[in-house]
Amino acid sequence: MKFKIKRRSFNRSVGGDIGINILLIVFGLFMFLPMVYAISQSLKPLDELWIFPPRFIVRNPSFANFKELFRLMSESWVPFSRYIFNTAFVAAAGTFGHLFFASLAAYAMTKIKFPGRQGMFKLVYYSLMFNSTVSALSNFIIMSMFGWIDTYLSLIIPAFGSTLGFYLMRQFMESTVPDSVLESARLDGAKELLIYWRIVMPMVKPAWLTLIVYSFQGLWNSGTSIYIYSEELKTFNYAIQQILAGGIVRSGAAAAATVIMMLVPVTVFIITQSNIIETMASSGMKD
Amino acid sequence: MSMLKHKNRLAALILTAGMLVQPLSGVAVNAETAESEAGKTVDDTSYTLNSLADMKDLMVSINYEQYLSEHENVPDAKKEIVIDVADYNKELSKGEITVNNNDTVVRDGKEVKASTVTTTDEGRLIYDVEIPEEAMYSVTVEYYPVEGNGATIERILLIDEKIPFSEARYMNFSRIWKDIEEKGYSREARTFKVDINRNEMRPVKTEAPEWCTLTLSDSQMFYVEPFKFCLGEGKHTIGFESASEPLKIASIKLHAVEPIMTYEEYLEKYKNVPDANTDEIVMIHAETPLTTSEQVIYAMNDRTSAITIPQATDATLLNTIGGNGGDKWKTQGQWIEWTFEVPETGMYYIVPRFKQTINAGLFSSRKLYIDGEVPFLEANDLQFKYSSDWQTECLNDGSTKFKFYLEKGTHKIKLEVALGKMAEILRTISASTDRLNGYYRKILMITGSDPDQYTDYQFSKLIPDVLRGMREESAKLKEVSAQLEQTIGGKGENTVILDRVSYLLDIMGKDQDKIASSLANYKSYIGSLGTWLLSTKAQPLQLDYIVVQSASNDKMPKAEAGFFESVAHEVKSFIMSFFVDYNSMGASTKYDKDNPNAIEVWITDGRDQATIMRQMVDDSFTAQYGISVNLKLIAAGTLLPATLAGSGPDVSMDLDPVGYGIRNAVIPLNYFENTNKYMGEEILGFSDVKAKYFDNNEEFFVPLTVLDPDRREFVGKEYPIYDDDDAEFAVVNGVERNGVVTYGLPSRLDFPMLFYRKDVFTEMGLEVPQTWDDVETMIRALSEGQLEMGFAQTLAQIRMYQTGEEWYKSCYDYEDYEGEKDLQSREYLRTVGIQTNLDSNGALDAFQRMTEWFTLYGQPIAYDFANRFRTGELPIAIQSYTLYNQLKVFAPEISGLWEFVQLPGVEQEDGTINHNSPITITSIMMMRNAADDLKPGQDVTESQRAQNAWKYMQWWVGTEAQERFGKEQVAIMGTAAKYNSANVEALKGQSWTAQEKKNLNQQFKSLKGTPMSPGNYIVARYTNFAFYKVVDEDEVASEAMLGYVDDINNELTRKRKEYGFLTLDEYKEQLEAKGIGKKTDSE
Amino acid sequence: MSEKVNAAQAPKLRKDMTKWQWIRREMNKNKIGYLMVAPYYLVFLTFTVVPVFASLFLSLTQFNMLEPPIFIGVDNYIRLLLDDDIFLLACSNTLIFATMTGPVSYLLCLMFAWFINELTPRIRAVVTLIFYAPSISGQVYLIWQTLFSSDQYGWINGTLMKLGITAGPILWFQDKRYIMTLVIVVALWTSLGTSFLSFIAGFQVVDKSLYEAAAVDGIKNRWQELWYVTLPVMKNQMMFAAIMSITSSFGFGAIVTALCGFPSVDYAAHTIMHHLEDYGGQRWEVGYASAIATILFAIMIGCNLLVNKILSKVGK
Repeated sequence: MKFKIKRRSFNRSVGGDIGINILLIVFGLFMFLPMVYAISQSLKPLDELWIFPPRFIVRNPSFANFKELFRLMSESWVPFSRYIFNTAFVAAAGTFGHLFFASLAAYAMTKIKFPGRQGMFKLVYYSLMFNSTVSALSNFIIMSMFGWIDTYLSLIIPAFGSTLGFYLMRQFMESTVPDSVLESARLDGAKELLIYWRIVMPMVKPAWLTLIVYSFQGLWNSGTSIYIYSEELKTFNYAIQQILAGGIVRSGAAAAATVIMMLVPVTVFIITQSNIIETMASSGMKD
Repeated sequence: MSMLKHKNRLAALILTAGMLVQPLSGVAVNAETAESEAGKTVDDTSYTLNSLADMKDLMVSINYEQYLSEHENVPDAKKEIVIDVADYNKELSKGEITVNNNDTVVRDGKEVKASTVTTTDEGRLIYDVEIPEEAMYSVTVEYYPVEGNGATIERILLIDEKIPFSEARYMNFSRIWKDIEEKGYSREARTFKVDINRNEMRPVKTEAPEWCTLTLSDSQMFYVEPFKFCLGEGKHTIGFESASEPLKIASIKLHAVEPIMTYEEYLEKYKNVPDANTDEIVMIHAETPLTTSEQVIYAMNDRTSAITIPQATDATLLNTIGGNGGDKWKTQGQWIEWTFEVPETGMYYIVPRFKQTINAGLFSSRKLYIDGEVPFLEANDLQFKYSSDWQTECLNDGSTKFKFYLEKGTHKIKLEVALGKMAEILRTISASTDRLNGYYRKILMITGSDPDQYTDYQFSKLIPDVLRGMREESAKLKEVSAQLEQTIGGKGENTVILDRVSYLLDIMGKDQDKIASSLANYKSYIGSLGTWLLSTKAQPLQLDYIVVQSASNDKMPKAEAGFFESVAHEVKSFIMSFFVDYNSMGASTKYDKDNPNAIEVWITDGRDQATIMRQMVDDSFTAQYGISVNLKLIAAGTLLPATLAGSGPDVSMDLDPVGYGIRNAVIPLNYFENTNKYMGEEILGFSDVKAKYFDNNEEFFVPLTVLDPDRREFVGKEYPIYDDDDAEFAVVNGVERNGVVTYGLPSRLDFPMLFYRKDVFTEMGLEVPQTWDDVETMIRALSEGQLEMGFAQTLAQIRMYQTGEEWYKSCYDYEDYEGEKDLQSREYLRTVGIQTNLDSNGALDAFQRMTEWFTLYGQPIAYDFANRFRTGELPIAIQSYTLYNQLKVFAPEISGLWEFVQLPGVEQEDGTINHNSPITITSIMMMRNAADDLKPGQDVTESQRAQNAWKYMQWWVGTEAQERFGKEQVAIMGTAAKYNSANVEALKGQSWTAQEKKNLNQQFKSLKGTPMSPGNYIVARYTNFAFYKVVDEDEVASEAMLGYVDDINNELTRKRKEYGFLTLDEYKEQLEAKGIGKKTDSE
Repeated sequence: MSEKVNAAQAPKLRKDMTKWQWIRREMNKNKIGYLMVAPYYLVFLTFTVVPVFASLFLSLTQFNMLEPPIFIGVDNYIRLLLDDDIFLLACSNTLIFATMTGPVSYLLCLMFAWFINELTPRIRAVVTLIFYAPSISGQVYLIWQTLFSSDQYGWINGTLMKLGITAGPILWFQDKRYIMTLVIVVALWTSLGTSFLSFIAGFQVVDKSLYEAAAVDGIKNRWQELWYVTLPVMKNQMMFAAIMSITSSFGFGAIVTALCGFPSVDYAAHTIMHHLEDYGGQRWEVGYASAIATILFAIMIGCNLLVNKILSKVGK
């Protein structure tokens, strides 16, 4: 076994390192507290769940809450496989639609010098900052004008136009895709769409993974939506929340549901973490 | 710092008042249903006091185990004594008793003429009886469950006018329910009524009383054999006191019960009977029983297994009965009876296909009756093992598979929920939980809520019996844990709790210094013991079918679907989910939007409530009125944008219908008077609904009624100006359209009640406070025992209403009116809310007194009610009465030891006490979309859809619908899902105990609604700010409140102006114009 | 221009065309660009930009969400700016929050990202997850409610009373003296969101050779290395993180509502967002709420421009 002497890099004092690590551990624990708390809540039997002040580590853990949740799910008229399908379909359609639209637009804005593109980008940049109670109202009216109320479209279409994903994609394309590669392709007479698909998209892999994660996370957590009425179109979270609204008796299953609902976005983040970091690296403002 | 502000801990405390020192032994508390005992005094004015007297009496009486040990050597009775029911003891009996001397009575199948006696849900029936020589007698009663309002029939047994032992308090006489064979339901052919998508609909149940005999035994089934009562030689009296529901009795027999033969004797008796030589397998569908003991035991749908018979992927079929959730067939005493036919005489196996997925590591028990008889002793302890899948097994008692002798022809089989082999174990633990509760309170009295382990409390001197008791309990629990391990065959989740409690008790019992430090653990262990006891007493079971096959055929039917079969089932039902129309589940006619007859109803409750409503809407509303309803379960926050976009519902629910009304989004309901029956014969108009379902209690409608200034009539007539007194108003359909409009019908109701711990109050010798002065004296007594009282911050409003103060100023504050204030007059409605009334002396005084509870008396402002109430540190609190549900689920171990009663009141001059309390109402509203089929010039009441919406609403707030909605929720989610209906009759029809009904009734008489005015949200907000100013910054209460009064009035004026309501300045001008202008204070 | 005929062959020079002609020419040369941008922008405009204009229009009306809006010109703005003292209180609270949480959380993210950067890749991934996970899970401030519960058994209240520091329980989230400080601490704790990730990413972009070069120029300890080497390179990430932290600190409201209830006692922690929700939600005055939204939007854009200017000086 080759014994590697770890050379202390010259400007790192041992004391500094130890201090940093302690700080990290302390703050790390403190940050991770809610996750531990949520998991321990879900394992508590009903009577322990309401003990105040709540105990951090569950005293006699039992999976009764999860069993209760699955029993409730199995008793629902609409098979729960359909609710899971709804969530997956909405998340997938919304994410890939957003990915395709955003990357197309980002490519055009960065690589095709048509007039007015700076102004358009500014519009997106500033819209990051706007929020008001009116948007929910006006979106509802628009949806009902298009007749998309109570259909999948009402959940999918708005996701196509999300701002953060587009912003990251544009920054990434601008910084990592050299114009020279495109010029040579254009000289060979390649059409823009072909260039976009063959050359640019493979190069921006980390960007669209980040976009997928953000968009998926948003859509997966989309709980109750004011656009959906009929039973069979409701997403997994929406159905679970309605079961748990049954009253005090359902709070055990509610604690279990929060843990389940938390698992998927966290696992998705773990898988794609490295790519996200890479994309964020290019997210700086050039101008 | 006021004397009581900081909590000092007295070194040692001698219990206040000569208190009963006896520990709470012998309290056999029925943990499942709250304890019910009608007070000794029979008259309806019997007061809360009697339930405290009961508590004292209960704490003295011994339990059956001690009763038996005291009469060990008394021999069983030889002779049988039959009591002639007709000649009861006239002096001692009370209440309404009707005797019918030649009533037809069915005895073993034959009709016989005999005399019978019927008692109501109140009163006493006492008989004199002559006992030849001292012996132990069992009592068998021949009874007929007369139809009442559906609750269980309960009697208290009295011997020599005393309760022999505490279990004698709960004699339950079970009812008999049958599915009505109509509209497509037939039991023999196993067919159900079907909706358009082939989903099977549940039949309606009705009572089918028959003559039955009951040998009095423990309704909790802690004791398997019937009760034995020791009657000495000579004259005695024996009788029943009514706890709930009427009952008819034909005969009472005192006799010794012959023991039932064991299974060996049973086999011996039929040893030469061959196994039935037939390979026919008789199938009994569990979902179509002959009769059941409860209205809430009905056919259910199971979709967890592909081979449940019958099963479909695109429709909901009712293929099972019982079930794991809720309160269906899992409480002791509930039974189901089926009938079946056997081709040959011989020995048979009886093989149910069942599922028990709740009590992990334990089994569910049932008691078997064949043709009304328990065949052999072991049939009392049938066991159904735990497994996550369906199982098929011969009926067994955990060890031997039973064979049954059946003659050719039809038979009846009945399965009743029992505790089986667990009875003895659960009895001991239940008794010890009560004792442990008692010990905890005794310690608490001394150490206070957070004991300091370094103080020597000299427990051994003060409460030696508690220490001894703990050591005994520790030994008893260890023994029970061993017994449990042997019964269920192994250690595990269930025994670990018992061992842990017994170990802790051992430490605390031996070393008194350890008591203070481990009190917190002790508290939480009693909690988990209580929860374990509650969940283990429940015996859930789900049955698909029962097969009767010859004893020679050992092949069991297939229990669970194979892997591929269930995957195929799941995939198929997933695919079918794209074709099944779930929204019109239960509708017998296809719902289409543009059919003028159909209406759309939105609800935002939980899914369980939605399922119940869909079922109810179809089999009772649509069936009755022929209007198809599309019921939608939507997310909160959808109603507003949808109504704006015009795609909203016809009927919806909300807390503030006036808010919607003043913005013309909701149709006034008092226009629908159905005067000349234009909506149909049996439809109730607005005032009929008000009279019938809310017995004209105006207070319910105060928050829903407003004089809406811009009530532009739908007919488009110009609106008469206000203050010309002789303006005559249009009269449409018998309703004078003078702008007084009601925008909602009350659906749910919430108000505060006084919760208190009966056991703590009995121990401390305290009485339930009737007035606020009583509360003051009580708080002093409580604080000596380190106990506190919990208050709600709406106290100021409670006190104002109790001293006759109004929440808003109105014309009565500006003009002099003689005589009674008419709170319905247009002038009052026009002016109420013009200014807040919080600046009046009465209001300021109420606010001052409210803050004193916290500043002067040091009671807690923020407290976790359920937790502290459970441990007894906070034995009394004013909280919303719906917290009843949380206590039921969260604190099972104190069930029966607490109660909610009427709020304390303010004594009036005439000596009566005003117990007024504010109410919060959720109401059902008719949205404006309901009238979008109106042609110009038509009045809103002529719109067909609006009329249909009104028909739905008057049906929904009716007693039948509300009562059923409440009962079904209990069936699905258990007793902790009581529904707080605004319909008084429906609320009382719930499974409350007689005492709880009495207490609710008292508070119901003194409820007061708060009028709604635009900008009303600001009043609650600023009173809250004022409260915290006093509590946080010690400001003088009246100054803090007066500081906000101007802000409140400004906001009220601004919002009233925005919606065209009368503002103060306009009103003053109008007064000057009329020359009144006298009493205009607050210039 | 005479030889229009062979204009197509000879490439036109930029200077001899009018500005408008040049744009038109460029547009039809790159019309493929518009086609590619169209799908995204159509959706973006309808669901994000239309509400902005709707809000601007509604801010000039009196609208109670269920009846048609009534045009009242700039009355809303006049009332808002001149005689709504709660709005002034809300602005001051928001600015306090923005100035306190904005930069502090920004530096916090920077510091943690910098520390984490020291670790080996495997551990770094785990630690990043631990720091970033809470903001995904959404269960963030549940802990604080129990920690600072005003019940005497709350953890902090309990320990304080045991140690004899306080006589009775302190109503942490209902007492004006404590609300602001507590809410700021919770805000900092929950602000480790997107800006934190961008810092971590930024640190990885700096190539190692720069450090060797800096060491030669006499950088002695890690702080100087950070200021002179790392930060200038990361200037772009810093700005992006700045925008994100400003946006989040201005849109800051949900946490306060969860902890102190709506509205907080005496409007102690009442932010512009709360004021907007109060008028939009409880008081049903959407016109007035839209006016607040417009003003908030203007403030946010102003702050952004300001911050960008400051940040561009870093490392100069």
